[in-house]
Amino acid sequence: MNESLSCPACALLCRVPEGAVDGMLACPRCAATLWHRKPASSQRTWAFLIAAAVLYVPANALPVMRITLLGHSRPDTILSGVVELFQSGMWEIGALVFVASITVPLLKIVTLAYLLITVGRRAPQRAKERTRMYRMVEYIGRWSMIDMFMLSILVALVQLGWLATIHPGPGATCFAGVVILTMFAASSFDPRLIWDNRGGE
Amino acid sequence: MSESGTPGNGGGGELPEAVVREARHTRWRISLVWIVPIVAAVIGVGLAWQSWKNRGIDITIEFDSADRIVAGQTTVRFRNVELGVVSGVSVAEDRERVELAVRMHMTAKPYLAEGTRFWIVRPRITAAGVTGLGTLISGAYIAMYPGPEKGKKERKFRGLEQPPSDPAGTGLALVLTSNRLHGLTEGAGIYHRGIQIGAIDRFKLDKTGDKVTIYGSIPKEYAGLVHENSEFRIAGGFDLTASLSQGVDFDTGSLRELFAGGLDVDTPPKAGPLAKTGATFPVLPRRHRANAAKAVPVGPRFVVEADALNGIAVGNPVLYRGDRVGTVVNFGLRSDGQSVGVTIAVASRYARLVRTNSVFWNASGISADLGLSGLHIHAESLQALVAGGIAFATPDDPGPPAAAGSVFALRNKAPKHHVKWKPRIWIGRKDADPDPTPADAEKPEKVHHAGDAAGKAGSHHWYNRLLHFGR
Repeated sequence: MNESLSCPACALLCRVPEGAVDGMLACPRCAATLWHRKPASSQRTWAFLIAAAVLYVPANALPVMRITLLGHSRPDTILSGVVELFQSGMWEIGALVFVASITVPLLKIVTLAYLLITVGRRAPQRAKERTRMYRMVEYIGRWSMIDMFMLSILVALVQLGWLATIHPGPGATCFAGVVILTMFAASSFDPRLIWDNRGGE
Repeated sequence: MSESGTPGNGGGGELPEAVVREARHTRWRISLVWIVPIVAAVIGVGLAWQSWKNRGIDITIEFDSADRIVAGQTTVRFRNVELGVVSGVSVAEDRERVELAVRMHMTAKPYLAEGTRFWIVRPRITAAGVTGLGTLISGAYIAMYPGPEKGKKERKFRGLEQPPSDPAGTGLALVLTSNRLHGLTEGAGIYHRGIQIGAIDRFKLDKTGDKVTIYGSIPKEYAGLVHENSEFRIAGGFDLTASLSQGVDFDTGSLRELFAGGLDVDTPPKAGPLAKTGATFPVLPRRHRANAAKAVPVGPRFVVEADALNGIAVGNPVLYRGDRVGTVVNFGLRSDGQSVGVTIAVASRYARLVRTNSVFWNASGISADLGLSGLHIHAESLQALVAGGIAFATPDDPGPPAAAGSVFALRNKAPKHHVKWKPRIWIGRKDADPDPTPADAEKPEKVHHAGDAAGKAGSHHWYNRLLHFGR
């Protein structure tokens, strides 16, 4: 039987001629390259994921911002910020920051790693749950940048010269890198791989 | 999937067929995407290295009190460059002092050696002045001054309670002893010719309670002004001198000296070797400034021999045309008791006025001439009238300049018409003389105008003793 493919750009369903290989096919309507699966999906996802995991360490260990108040400057890491929020009684916000900035990126990395490992082993179990996990990771990705938006607003607003100034620290760059790389990882992962071993049976 | 086509299309053609084209690139076995984690790793390692490099050095500084020190806020500065921050304040084990834990920047590493000094800068208002006003707003900070280069590594320091006047510690540390403090304060200056060259750091009462030890320091740049035979005198306060001849003289140093007190350093003309750190000096009482006017001018000395002193005293002026050109330094009876010798010092720039033909007379008192034309009362100057003095004049034929040590006879009366004598003796700058006379080029000549006794053997010792008095 002839296979058919959906164009990733214009969603046109088209037939695959016999003997054609991935990378040689193009959509007859929009000329986008057609793939059965995203090319080198798991390899790319792994690469982005490892890069994200590497940057996760300095993102949490280095200060994300440096607050200068009346000439006294104090660096703040994500964790020290959370601790301070808890200590000053704002534990709701503290918990929110903790979940959004520390737990979520870590969970994303762990989840994607789990998906990649199971796909690599061609394990057929609980494919539905795994697909749901993937959808969640992809959905959550766009919200992880909230911290960075907050920080950029703070840095732009609190420029009162000698009185008070906030400077972004190297941790912020790393944190942004983690978020972007996990988003790349999520988008380069092809969820169809989860189902591949089952479809083949 | 493709089985269920739409009925409108022909069999097998219900779906558009994908276009087959040449593969655009050969498939790499290892995707280029692996550059991303490598870059991330490089960035991560770089940042880790950087933060390890800047990890800071923990040191401890001990102080008597942690007044105005706030953990996490108080900074350590060297020349006002922030080099560290106090991370913790705790009481030392012996409960006598406090320990400040300080995290220093990595750049401060070479400064943290033996001899590095730390002191707290807070607002201080003393008689010597107001310092550290800026710390009123920004809070106190700890100032530091690094010890000598390549010193032994040190991580535990003892802070100074007082800001050192000579933070580098390269200057001269002096110990002064006195029986009273004489109103000196910490930070009071040590002055040389009215310029502050050092300061008093602290003082303490001796254990027995009968002496005061004062510690002062003089920075390196001025250390060369203190010799082993230098004199330290109380300089504060003011001088009020009232005398008949000079009226009322009120004299003070700077306002600062007046209120904070201070010490004057003076070194006799024959300076001894330079003082070393730790040298001990006694504090001498104040020297009356009014006497400074009677200071011996630097210049050649002459001896005038008189029958009697007639009111001449040490410090009296030597007058030329009524202008003070020198001072009476000493006097003494001649060995055979037949006359009295008066040593005078003439300021160098006026020395050329003293010629071999010069005439000296006693200007003290009033001379009165009673003649047909009436009564002439004559006095050299009010000062000389009251205090006495010696005047001299040089006739129109001055002769060669008199050599230092020459002896002249002292007349009791001024020679007649001496004011009309107008020898031209240039005392301005040598090269500015518009009409240099050969007389000036002549070599100084030794004279002995004093009576017959002057040439006698045995008088030389006496002259020499007189001439070298006080030298």
